[in-house]
Amino acid sequence: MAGPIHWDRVKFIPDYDSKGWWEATKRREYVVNQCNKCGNKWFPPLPACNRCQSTDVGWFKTQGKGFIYSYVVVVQPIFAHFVDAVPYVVAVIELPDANNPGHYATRIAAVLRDDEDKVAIGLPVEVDWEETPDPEIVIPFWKVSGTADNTWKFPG
Amino acid sequence: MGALTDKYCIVGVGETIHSRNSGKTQLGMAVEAVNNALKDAGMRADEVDGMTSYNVMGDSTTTPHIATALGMRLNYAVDVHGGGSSGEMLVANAIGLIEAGYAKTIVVWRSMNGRTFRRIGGQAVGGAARVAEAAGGDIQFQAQWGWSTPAQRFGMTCMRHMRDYGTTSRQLGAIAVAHRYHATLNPKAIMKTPITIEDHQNSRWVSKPFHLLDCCQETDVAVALIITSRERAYDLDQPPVYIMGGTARTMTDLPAWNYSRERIHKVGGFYGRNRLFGMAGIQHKDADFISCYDAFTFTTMIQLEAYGWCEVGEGGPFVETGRLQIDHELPCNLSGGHLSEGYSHGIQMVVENVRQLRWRADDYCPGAAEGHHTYDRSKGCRQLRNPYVCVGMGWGSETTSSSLILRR
Ligand SMILES: [Zn+2]
Repeated sequence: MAGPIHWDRVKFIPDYDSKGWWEATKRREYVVNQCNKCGNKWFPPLPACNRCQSTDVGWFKTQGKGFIYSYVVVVQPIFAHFVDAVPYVVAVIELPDANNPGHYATRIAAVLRDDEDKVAIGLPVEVDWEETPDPEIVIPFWKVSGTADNTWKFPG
Repeated sequence: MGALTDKYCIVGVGETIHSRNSGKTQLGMAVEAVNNALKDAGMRADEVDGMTSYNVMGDSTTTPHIATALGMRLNYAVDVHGGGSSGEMLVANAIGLIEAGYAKTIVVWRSMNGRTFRRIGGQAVGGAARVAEAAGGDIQFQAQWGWSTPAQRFGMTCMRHMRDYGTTSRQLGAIAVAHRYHATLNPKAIMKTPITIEDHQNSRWVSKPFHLLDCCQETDVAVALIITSRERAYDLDQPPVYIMGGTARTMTDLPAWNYSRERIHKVGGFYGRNRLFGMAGIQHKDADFISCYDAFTFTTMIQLEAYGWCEVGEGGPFVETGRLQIDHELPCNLSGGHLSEGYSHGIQMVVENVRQLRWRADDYCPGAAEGHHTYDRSKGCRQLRNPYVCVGMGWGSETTSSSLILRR
């Protein structure tokens, strides 16, 4: 990431479905939705379970560890708060401890602290926290945390 | 075949020019496109009694405005939210509405100042980047990730496809080259300079894995179609183009949730293809040409897999040979498509397909309007030789697709 992200240029508005997630980030916990009836997990937040249709939905505290499933490198900025950050990497990250065997995986997306040359599909990552000028808003960044076999890197 | 196959027709098509500065309102452009479609069909405005359109978050005008301006008293008027895949979907809606008796003749239109009003990704006019905003709903997460535009979103799916199957940027370049070649045969196209694979590879990055030449144009344009029954079509000015079948916004989970599915590049069209070909009663080999939504080179490629033109994972080698270019095996997006003609969220491809099926592409041939074509590409002819069937595939996102099979 070339420069800072200007968090003061955006106002986050937690809602009924997401407020538990935002409260967890203030505790430095990365949570995903969990069905209180069948245990299914998912992200981003939704008010029902796509496996059993229950609306009794809670939160599952992940270990904040995963691996890169895919990524892009944003070169041309669109969001005003990211104009000085390009180029930066956004990744889809699989969280193995939140996967649902026989059903869906649980994959999230996040901006990475690492530049493109350090990033590859398959590498392990862990959550890292970014405070913003708004004390109610803490953003989870992720960063590469080790090495792995069989990684894949965009050759371009 | 479906119960309604060949019962309804597209009888009129019209549009404005594609430009980067229309200087007009969306209403002014829409009126021009609707009038052009009426003139094309040989119909009066008061013979239309239904009108529908699509828009993205209010970037357009409304059907009541157009009807008022043109003196139409409608029995059905609805404007829906949505971009790509909406044109084909509204054709399906029109069939249902006419069949059920809600209207007899329906105009489907789209008008957007896609360059001078709201740009792709919500970029403000004249701004280098989107203005600061309140981030709620889905945007509360996307604004954390710095990830929102189609280039950024679809790139995630493309990157995983490259990793899983060895698809390359160079292979995608063949789509850009083919569609650009078609644009060189189209007087209306906004990008007419031929390009090579090397030009594609050397163009700047927008969002890796996408180069600039993987990305569509942004233009100001309006487009209109007229749908009515085949009985009515026989009295009109153009050879009827029959609607054989289609799908209307077939979808799977929204993209941010689809990322948790087993295979993230299993896109919406995959779920619609059996319905599409089953309803139309044809097979892939019966198609003389296709259109396949090219917001990006990748969206064309992945939908060729999804709709079964090639095997899953084979999209890269499939397009790499140049088979999508006119006079090759599977001509695709003959107007130049979104990559080179301009951008209307898909509906312009229906217009091109209709003209090709009438054998009256509006190319550089002096007698094009009367259907006299040379088929000499070096002289700017883009009309195929006597095509009968076209399969069109629209794209709303990775997880939403509509489609439309037409025949003459
Ligand atoms: Zn459940």
